[in-house]
Amino acid sequence: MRNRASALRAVFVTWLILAIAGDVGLALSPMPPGEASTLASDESFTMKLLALMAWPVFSAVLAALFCTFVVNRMAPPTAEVSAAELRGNNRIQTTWIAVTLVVVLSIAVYGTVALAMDQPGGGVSTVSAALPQPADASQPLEVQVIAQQWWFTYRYPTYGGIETAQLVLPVGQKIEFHITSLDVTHSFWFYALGVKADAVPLNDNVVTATPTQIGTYRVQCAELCGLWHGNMADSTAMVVSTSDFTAWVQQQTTADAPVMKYLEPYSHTYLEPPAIYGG
Amino acid sequence: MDAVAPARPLPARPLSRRLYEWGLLLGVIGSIVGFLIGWAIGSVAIAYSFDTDNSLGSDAGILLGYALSAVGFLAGMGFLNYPISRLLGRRMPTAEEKAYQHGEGGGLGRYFRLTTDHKVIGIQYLVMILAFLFIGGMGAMFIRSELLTPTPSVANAQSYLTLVGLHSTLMIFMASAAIIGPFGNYFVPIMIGSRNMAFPRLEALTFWLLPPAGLILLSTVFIGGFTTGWTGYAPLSDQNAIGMDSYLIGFGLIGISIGLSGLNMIATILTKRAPTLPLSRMPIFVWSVLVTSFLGLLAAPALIGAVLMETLDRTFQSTFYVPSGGGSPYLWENLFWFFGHPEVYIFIVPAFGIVMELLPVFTRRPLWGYRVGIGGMVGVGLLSFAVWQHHLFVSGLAPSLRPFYMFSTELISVPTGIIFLVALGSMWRARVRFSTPMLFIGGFLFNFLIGGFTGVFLSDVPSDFSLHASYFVQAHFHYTIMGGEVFALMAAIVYFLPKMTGRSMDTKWLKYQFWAVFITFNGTFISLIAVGILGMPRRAISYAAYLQPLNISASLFAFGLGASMAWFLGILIWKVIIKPTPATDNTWQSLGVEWQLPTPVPVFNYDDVPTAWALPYDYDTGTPAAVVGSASPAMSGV
Amino acid sequence: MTDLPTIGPGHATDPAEPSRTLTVGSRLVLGANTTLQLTFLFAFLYLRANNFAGGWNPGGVSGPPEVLALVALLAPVVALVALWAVSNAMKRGAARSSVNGLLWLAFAFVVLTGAIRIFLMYQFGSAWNLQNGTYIDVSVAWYGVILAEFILAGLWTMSLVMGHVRGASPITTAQSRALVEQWSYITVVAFAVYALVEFVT
Repeated sequence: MRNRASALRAVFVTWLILAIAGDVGLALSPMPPGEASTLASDESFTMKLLALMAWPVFSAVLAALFCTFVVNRMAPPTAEVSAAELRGNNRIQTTWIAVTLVVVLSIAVYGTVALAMDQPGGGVSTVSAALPQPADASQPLEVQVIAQQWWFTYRYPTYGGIETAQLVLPVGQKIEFHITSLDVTHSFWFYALGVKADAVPLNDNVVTATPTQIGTYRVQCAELCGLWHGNMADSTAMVVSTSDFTAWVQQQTTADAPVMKYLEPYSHTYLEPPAIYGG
Repeated sequence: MDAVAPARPLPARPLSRRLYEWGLLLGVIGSIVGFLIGWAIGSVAIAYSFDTDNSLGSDAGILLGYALSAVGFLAGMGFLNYPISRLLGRRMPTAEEKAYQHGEGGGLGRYFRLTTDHKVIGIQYLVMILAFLFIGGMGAMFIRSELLTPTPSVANAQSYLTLVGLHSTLMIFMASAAIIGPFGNYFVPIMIGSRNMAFPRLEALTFWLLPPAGLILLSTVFIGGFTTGWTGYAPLSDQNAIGMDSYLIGFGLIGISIGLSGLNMIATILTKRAPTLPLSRMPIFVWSVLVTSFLGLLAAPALIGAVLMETLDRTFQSTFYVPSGGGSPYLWENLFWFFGHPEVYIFIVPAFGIVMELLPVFTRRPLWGYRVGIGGMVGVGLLSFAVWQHHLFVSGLAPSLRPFYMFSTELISVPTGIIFLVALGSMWRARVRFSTPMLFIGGFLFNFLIGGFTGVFLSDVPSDFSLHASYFVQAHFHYTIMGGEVFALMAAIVYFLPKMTGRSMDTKWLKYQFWAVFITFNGTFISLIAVGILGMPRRAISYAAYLQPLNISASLFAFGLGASMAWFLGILIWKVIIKPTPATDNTWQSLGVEWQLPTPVPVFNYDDVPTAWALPYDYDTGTPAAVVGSASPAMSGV
Repeated sequence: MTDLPTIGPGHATDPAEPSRTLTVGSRLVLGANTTLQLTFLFAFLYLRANNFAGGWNPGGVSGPPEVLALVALLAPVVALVALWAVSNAMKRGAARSSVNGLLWLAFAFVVLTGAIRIFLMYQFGSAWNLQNGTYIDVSVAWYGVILAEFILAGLWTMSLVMGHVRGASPITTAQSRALVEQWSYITVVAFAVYALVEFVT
């Protein structure tokens, strides 16, 4: 049998060990989705911060549960605890609610600020309607992602609306993804860049991110879109140097030249005839 | 279940009574006839009115067929007898007929016919829930087998997606009634000192809607399946063939069942309490049922409306959800999640109730913070109507609203946290008895804690961008529903079975079973949390090769989990049906009024309404919840 | 079974309980119905405000046939007045047979309401094409839902009227009040939907 103070001390010590060990571990470990773009870095940072904040709270409850089950076991009510105490304690309840409220509010405020700074997804286009000629680093490069069952195609309006099956992006350039769909709801997920946005027919979903690491990445669909949803993925998306990107654009422009006249004019959404609908 | 009871000789049985006894068979016949009639009308109507879709497998034919087969089933069961006799102004049922309908006279037969006894319905629910859980669990096993390899192996894409849809939808059906169905129906009237439910026929209807709903859903495998999962997002659902119709009618029937069950429960709790029992002294489980019932009553109509619009889209070529026709996929997403988010609290709030109701029995101390616990559940219920767009953070819908939904979603962790406060306060420095139900409650607390904290990452928009629609989400809600609700369900089954059947399933094997299910469950879903963080999207049959080791780990643990769940079912069947182990009176030395009644509980529960109600948690003084009139008190060893 | 004597369900604990249960149940139905109506209101306003792909009302259709729609609103009002009179008479404790006439009158207009509204749906079906814009879709679906509710409330009215006039189960005060509540709720919704569909095309 343990008295009140020693019971609390057991919880506190257990909590301190758990919290410090866990937070040190979390602080040192890499966080998804990584550092391959500004957006991804922001998301990683948010996740690390949330994890660092949440773990001590989590481990506090865990420590209390553990000590209650294993360490602080007292025989049925003794004189030490009054009948009223066994039924509740306004001060403890109020404190608990106040503390959880403060934690929650701080997380929500932080999330709102982070969201306001990033504006990922669903935002409005910052590019003027008259598309600029090849963008410089100060201006975002518009890249359209067109989802359909079951692949993505990409259009580069800045370069005459060329259309490609492979996503190639210049490093260090702010990219403004415009995501839309031709048939059902898809979701464009570029894991490494931290980009995920639903592709909804007749909707233009905008996400901006600046890739910071050259490499080859995987993009995939993240919203169930029918039979081959699982295979709607491509591991050849690339972030390349600016000079490589210019070369790639030229090569694509030449390759696309014969078919350009058959493509629909560039637009933020495309209207598909409703032939496929109506079961 | 009452094999020991001598069957009371009934007076001459009129034809109507014999028809009730054959209700299940008549119901099956009725459903077949109904399906054929509906299918014929639908097909013919379509052939004459629209030239676009005039095959025999038309949506109109199938939808109408399914709807009428459900009606036919209910008619065969005898649900229309009373309304029709009222419509014609015939005489009201006599007391004797009512008593018969209520299952008086006992016998196994009353479990297979329309019975208005809430105790019979509770046991019917329990069996049905376990059947759904078993079939849904088999689906999970197939899914995990398929995901052992990063490319399609066991199943093809269509059958894989159909399995995913069936597993999820069936489990949603199961979870929305898992605790409130068996234990809410069985124990709410007893706990409030009532002889009956407010609307017993309605209550029977809420149960008998489940078998047709489940079978209609499962029948999708014969007509091609559907590829949308349980969320049924349009316009993919418009694009699907007739297999989608099973989902629509099945889900519509479940929606009706949830709404009507809520109506009946609320009316019962508000108007059928013993005169000396105020709301402020009701057992906390009854409070959880009350909150849940309000959620079901007020949320389910949104689902019914949404399903109705989709039905019109599929039959009359309307364009509610078709973007090129003026509709919007967002309409479905909004309506569906407006129902869908309260729905997940329909799963978990009764589990809170079970945990808080059972804890004092095993700590032998009063429930700590009864009022604040109720406040927590009510708060969860109120907030649950204001969070639905957190499912749509990346959908591109109304980005300016995201801070609000982020805030309301995170706010909901405050009332949820209260449940942990109550649990910790009740157990604080108590010598907790680790009987089997208490083990499952401990498991609930641990799992739900993880479920809650994974939720924080999903509620915050920037981190949700990375985790949304990944296996992280999947693991999160399995932690809350499987790790939370199903663990509470297992605790409740072990705890209440002695009262419901007079037989006990508690053995030392059950404790090993708990550790097996606890370890395999956590192994499975911690693997899946990791898989999700590393970027695996949900519902994908193929995945990147580097994720295979974690997927194999998840699958192996999942097979263990499946085996341990089957073990639970095996013990249940063995100890209750094959080798019945009689339970002692008041197995857990509870002060609850339900344990003061004899087992089996008399058909109308109480001869005299119990009086002098106290909270059933006064273990320090040993005051029982109420004084039960002539029923013999079964207080012992408190 | 136990050897305790079983007591029939006639032994209510409180004589006022059945009517309280009915009143509470009826109000709860109104609550659930409100969600259903809000679902359609949301669909109506959401689709109209966004006018996706210009598909709200591409054909420029105006509201339902006016005369018919107004008559379809008048009938439930007359029924409502009669039901209200029944409820009032019950509250005053009138003799059982004295409300027979009012009940028959109410029932006649209830039937009329259903008949006119079915005819109205038929008019919709022949004049409007559901493939032609979401304005038509929401309007027709919403009118259909209201029709279904009128029919359900009408069936309940019928069971009460029949039970009363044939003496099997005389109508109670609580029943008549609940019936008035249900019927007026649906009537008000019908008016609101008429106004919405007629003036907010």
